[in-house]
Amino acid sequence: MNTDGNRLIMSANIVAIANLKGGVGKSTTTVMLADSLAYHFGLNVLVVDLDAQANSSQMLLTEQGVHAASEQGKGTHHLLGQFLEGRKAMAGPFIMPNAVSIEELRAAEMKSERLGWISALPAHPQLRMDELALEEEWYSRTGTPTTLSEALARHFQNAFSDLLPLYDLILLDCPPHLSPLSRAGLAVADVFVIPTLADAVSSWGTKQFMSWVGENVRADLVNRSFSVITRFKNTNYARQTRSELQNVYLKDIWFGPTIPESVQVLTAMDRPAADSYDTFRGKYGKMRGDVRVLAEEFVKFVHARKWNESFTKVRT
Amino acid sequence: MTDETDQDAFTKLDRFFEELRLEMRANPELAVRLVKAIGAEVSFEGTLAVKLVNPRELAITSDEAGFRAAFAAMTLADIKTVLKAHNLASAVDMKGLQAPELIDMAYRRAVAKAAERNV
Repeated sequence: MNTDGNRLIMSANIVAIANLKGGVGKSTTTVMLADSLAYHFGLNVLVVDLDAQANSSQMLLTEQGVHAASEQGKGTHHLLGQFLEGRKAMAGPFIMPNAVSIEELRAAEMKSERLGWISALPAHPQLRMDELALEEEWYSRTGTPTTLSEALARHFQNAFSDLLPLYDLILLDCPPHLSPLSRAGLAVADVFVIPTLADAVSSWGTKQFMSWVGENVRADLVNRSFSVITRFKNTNYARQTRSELQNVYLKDIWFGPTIPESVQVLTAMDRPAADSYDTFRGKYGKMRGDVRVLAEEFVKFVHARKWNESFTKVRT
Repeated sequence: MTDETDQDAFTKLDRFFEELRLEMRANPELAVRLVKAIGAEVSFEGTLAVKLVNPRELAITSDEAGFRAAFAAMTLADIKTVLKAHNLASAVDMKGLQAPELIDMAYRRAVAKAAERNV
């Protein structure tokens, strides 16, 4: 970990999945990446949900699981409470160590042959209320949104530093607006996965994201960004918009695969129960090839652009 | 003249309802949607139940006994089909389970899922 002026830099594998626009598939992309990187590359992945909507947490743990986690003292709102009370930054106690739904990963674990795993620092709807309380408290002491997000980023940096040796990747599912939490998450990330849709309003949202984060968080954002077009409907309009995004507006960004609109993905994100497991093939069905390519392309991107690290495939 | 017009209208309405009745008989999904639209409760039997029962909806609109009764008449394969079709269990979850265990799972998960979604 080091600093570059006022900007925080972490030297580990922290990935923010972010876009200012909502509904572009941030949580779905987060979960697909976590599943596929754990399954195909055997990575130990931590998913940190910074979005009070808690969608990726629900997808991984189910809604009941999210509430159960909170009752067990787990979740990002506890990390926020720790900050508010001025306690030492530690994320470990708030992590749900098992957020796996893929049968092959569970079966390997049962045989003490762990090869790929997913843990979660889940969100809970309480997170938004805690964030509001924090903002009121901070601003009443003449703090500003910027000083709050910087202080939170330092807290996250300290909290995550103990986790870095334990995980191959930490995926931050960021909320779709510039709240202090979101800004802190963006500040500690090494690279950015930017899901978007192939339509005009999503292009505008992505443009605003690139502009704001490029100016305020990462001057070299373009080199650190991996974009994924999600929920693609194969129409002339969508093909034209995708072509413009890839060849003109975001031509310097690494694009992952285009993920088609699919009922199978919706189903895959709706875990039947916290004790439900499915094979990778069963969970993703006909989409499994797309989800595999998503991880493969991301690994190529990581290798080429950032960490000079090469992850090796452990399953096909 | 008026009587003749009325007669003509009733004949046409009879024809309309006859067509509707025939279509509903041939298309049970439509029948269920129409019957639900007028606020009536729908119960299912036999192969129709496998095709049309929605366990999450049933968990809200029926008591536990009613829920179990809807599944009790189904074969093991049919129960599995319903659970898979409504994303309440994967093939891995259902492996080796018999009908009573599957119905327990169906009820538990349908109630939980309905609670997640119910406002």
